[in-house]
Amino acid sequence: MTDIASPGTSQAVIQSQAEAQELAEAQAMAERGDRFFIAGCIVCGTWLLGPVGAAILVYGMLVMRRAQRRGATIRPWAITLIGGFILVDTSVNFFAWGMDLFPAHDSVLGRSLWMGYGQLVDGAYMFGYNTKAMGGVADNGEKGVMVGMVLMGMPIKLVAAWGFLKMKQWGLQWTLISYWMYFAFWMVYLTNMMTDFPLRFGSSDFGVIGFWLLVNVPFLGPLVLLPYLHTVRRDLWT
Amino acid sequence: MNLTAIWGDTWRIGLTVVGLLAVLGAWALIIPNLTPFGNRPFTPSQVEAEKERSNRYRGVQKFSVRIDVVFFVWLVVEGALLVPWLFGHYGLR
Repeated sequence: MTDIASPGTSQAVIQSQAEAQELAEAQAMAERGDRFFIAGCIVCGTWLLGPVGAAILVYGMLVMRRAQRRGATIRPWAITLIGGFILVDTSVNFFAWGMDLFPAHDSVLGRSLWMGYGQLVDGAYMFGYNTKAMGGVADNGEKGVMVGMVLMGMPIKLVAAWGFLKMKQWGLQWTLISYWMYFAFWMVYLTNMMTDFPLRFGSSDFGVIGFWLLVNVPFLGPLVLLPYLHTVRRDLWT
Repeated sequence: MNLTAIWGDTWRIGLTVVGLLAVLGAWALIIPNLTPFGNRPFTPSQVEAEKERSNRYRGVQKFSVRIDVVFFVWLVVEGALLVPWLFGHYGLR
């Protein structure tokens, strides 16, 4: 067999191999960054580990940005930011609220978190905490919404957000469904809050303003995201 | 806090995390296997139609993404600061 490759050709082959390797490394780096980003969003929403989660998610975004500069193909940043917001919001409602629904409501950390929150913005978490059969918040309306959302609404939304970020068609479809579900939940929640106004807003330190700043702004998510989810190119999710 | 209290907190929080992960795991088995509105590849003409439809609502999407970024930063900052501030201000109970 005769080697017909000229020195120039073999140099080009070596160069293209080096480029391919560099690209593969960049792609692996992007995937690592994405894992950090998703984990950071979820940890950030636990509230108790919030500072750690924020650091992890910022690190994940920086790694993804660096990988993109090195030539890695990543999903559009708009989708990353929307998926990240959904993850943090859902994680707060799932993990932090889950601390009230499950036995952690009897722990010093769980009790301090929720009674402090009650004193801050929602008095229902301050009065009669851990005095009813299910423990945690004693307000019946709040407990009912919590059971529905922690056991069904939020885990569906969390899994859907993961699928959405992984560009799966079921992810986009379930994100849409879970956001309409979230919208219905928001209406039930606000009705509960309004009908118990003196207890919930009147008795807390920051009342209505604190509630809007801390809780209700993220709950506006459906109003902001549903138009996007209904008009985005569905063929991007495969 | 004495040792008994620390142990009490540990198992309660541990059980809570296990319970929540079990709920999440159950849904993670169900959801990816259900595609409510069908799961078929888009034909070239459907892709064109999707592009056209999406372009018509470019303004709505830009607005959504901008507000989303504000909310996202808001939540991350809140998540990072709320608990340290709450515990510092109101103390442990």
